[in-house]
Amino acid sequence: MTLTRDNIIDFIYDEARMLDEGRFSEWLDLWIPEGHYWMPLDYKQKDPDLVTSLLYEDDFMRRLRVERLNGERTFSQKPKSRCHHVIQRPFVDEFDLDTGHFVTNTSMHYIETRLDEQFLLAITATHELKLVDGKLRIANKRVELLNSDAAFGNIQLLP
Amino acid sequence: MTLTLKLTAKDSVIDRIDLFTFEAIDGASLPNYTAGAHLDFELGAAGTRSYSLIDFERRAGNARQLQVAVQREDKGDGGSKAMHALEVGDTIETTEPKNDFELHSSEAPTILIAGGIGVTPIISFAAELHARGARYQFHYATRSRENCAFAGALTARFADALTLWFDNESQMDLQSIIADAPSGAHFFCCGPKGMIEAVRELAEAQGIAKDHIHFELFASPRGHEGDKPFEVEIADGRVFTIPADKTIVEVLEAKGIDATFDCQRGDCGICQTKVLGGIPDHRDVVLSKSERDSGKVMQICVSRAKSNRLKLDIGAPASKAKTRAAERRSTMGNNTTDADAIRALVQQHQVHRDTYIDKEIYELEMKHLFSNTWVFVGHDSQTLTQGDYITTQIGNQPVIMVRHTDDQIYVLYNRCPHKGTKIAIDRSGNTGKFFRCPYHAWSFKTDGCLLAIPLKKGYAETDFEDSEANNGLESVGAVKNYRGFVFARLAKEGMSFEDYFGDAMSSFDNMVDRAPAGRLEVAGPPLRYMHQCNWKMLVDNQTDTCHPMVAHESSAGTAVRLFEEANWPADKPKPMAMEIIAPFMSPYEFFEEMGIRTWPNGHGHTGVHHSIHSDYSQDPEYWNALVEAYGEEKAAKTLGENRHNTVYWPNIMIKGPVQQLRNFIPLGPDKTLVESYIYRLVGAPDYLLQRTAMYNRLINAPTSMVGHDDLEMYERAQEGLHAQSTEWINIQRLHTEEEDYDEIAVENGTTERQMRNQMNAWVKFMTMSMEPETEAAE
Ligand code: FES
Ligand SMILES: [Fe+2]
Repeated sequence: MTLTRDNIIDFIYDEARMLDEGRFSEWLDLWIPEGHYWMPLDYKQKDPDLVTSLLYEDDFMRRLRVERLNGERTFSQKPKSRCHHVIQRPFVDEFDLDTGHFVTNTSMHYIETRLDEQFLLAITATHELKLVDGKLRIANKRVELLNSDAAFGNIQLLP
Repeated sequence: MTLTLKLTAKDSVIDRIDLFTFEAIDGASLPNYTAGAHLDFELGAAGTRSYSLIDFERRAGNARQLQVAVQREDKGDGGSKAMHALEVGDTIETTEPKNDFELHSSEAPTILIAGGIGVTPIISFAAELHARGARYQFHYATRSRENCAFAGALTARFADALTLWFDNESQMDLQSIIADAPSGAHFFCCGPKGMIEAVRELAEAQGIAKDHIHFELFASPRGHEGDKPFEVEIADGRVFTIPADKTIVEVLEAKGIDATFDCQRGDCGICQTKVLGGIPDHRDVVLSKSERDSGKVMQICVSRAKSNRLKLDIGAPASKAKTRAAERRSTMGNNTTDADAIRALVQQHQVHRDTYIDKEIYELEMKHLFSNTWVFVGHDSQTLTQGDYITTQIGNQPVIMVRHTDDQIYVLYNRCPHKGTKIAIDRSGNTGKFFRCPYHAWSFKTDGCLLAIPLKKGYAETDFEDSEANNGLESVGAVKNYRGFVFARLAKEGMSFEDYFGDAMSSFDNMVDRAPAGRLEVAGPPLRYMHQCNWKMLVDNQTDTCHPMVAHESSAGTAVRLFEEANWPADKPKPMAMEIIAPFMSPYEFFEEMGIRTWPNGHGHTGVHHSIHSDYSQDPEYWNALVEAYGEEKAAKTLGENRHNTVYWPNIMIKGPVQQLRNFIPLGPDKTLVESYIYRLVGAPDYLLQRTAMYNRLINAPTSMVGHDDLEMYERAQEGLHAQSTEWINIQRLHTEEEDYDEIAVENGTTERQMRNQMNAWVKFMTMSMEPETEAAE
């Protein structure tokens, strides 16, 4: 079968559901190893490297993060947090079947909760997807918080 | 506003009296003043001393120099000695000239009367009157010819008006001077208390109106030899003992009794109090002879008692902050003052929980601790060009840090003097040459001076010049730019920057010396991480070396395990993240051996011998750049110093080896904003900044796996402290008998000495402004 725009959009929905259901190990397998998960600190930040970001994580760091969430002595996750993504239908900004390269832009409301606390983040996520052995994979993901310059408490899961 | 003056000449006038000439550091012109004005000099341990400006030439309107004459009092309180210790080229801080002793402006004749060193303001008056062509007499008494300072210069200038009197030849005849004075004359007298009293009494006896008699005491009237303690009973029946070296107002203040006073020299009259019993020993120069003899009123700022007890008509206790702790402790330990209550909260090995959870204690911290200490404001690269500003806060005080047109950095209260509107609210920006308030368009120069008000004529007839609003945006007490890092002290008076930090600045030096160009630049905005806990929990954590292997096992321990499992090829560079995160899992011995150093005033650092930053890889390009800039020896020394966390009390921490600064900004007893900044080493290769940026996001971000566990601990502690079990927080690890925190110490890296050092400084700077310091004998 050939890939359609709907397949791309479904991929984004499926990823959100995976995170909301806490299937983090499965989520790791969505990535190609070289990909970066980036959450900038500054609005419209261009450089992930020489100024601070909230997150800029490679394969090693993503694995560490997920392993930690699953760990026994992860005190800030006793009890565990839960999260919830409400997403708007993604825009498919780039759709190139020849090179297997796709870019989506998705508005989301992300909610995270633990004990009596709950907070909401308004997000624009940009996914760069690649077709690897017939499967869609995340090549890069950029999560832009509407209020990235605000002060936050712990953001523990994966917006 | 403070002036920084350079001593450009120091000339001996006569034995024990020197003439000091000061200029602005950069040779700029100095503020205008009028005859009779004085400067308050900041003399470190000797406190503040006022000296009248001498102005022979009437330069006051356009001064390039300021001159004072100081007589060395060998038995004095150290102020005059501190002045005499100054050497040409030294700089010193003073207030702007203030004038409490203004010359009258009427046509009436003037009688100037000076005694001893009290001649200094009188000289300025004589010069002014001489220039006006006014009618005046100038009487100047000294003990002998040898003791007559400026005799030659005065005779040369004011010969017609001048009469010199020498005690050992012919004593000044005050009786005739006053009796023979032309009618309507104004009397200006400056000299010892006895002389001023005599002038006042004689003048009153002549029926001369009070508002024609002006005087200034040049010596402190308090504290005579042989003063004894006595008791004071106040209206509500409480009785206080006034020790020999304290005044009534000092004791009442310390006890929280609301006493009104100003000059504390017995000449302003404000502290006048009714005497209901006992016999006062008058030391003031305000009361008339009949008032004095009646024994019914007294000036409680200087006067004492002849009887064992005085009963005074003075108030009910003020509604001064009385803390819960103070109340509890007053019933337990019978301590009645705030300062005592504060002291009772801190023992060397344990700290009362109220210091972390009590709202009133927190408010006292904002009022006292954050006012008396030097607090970090920002980095000068955040305000690189003139008009650049940032907004931030010192304790709970909103401030603006701005670069003025003279290229200096000013720190101003962010409050319009008109109606209070914050002048700037963006976190940073450029305001050009002036700030303009968005409410009614009052404008201010970037040094805070009021520049313009629309429709200003509306204030023309209102004595606006005298109102506080005319002063513009107020500056904080003192500002210091240390190698790019800007600190400020809110209090107008207090410890100097150098005394406050001392050797502790060596960690800043190490951080800046790591830049081949010798300076740092801020790299991007800070991470902003909100903590629902007391600010001191974060400060404590910076030198808490027994928590990483426990609290951070989930991140650092997992990282080490993952790395081992990954069978990393030997020839592939280790992930930079591993270099950063793995050392958190180092065993206790590593932290024990790394050492902790503490400095006076609450500063200290971990990592004396090595640290978690020691094994970071360096590359030859960087090494060569450093060697080129500093030579091999210094470069090696700089990179060999790998201090871990340095705490600058009260509320920042820096990491020299990774060029980071964390600012723990208090927002409430249980709320703290942590801002984590990173800096570029100017002249160094990018990979260093890359590691620094990575460190910041891995460790200090709200999304940090390491930060999550720390915050979890702080917040649990903040809640746990409310439990009705013990009320004390234990900081006893490796405590040795009676530690002296004024000593620099290097100890085992797991000691909690630095936490004890911090709380010792907490008490010191909390209580500093709560009651007068016990002063050395006068
Ligand atoms: S409040 Fe600032 S101009 Fe009126
Ligand atoms: Fe920690």
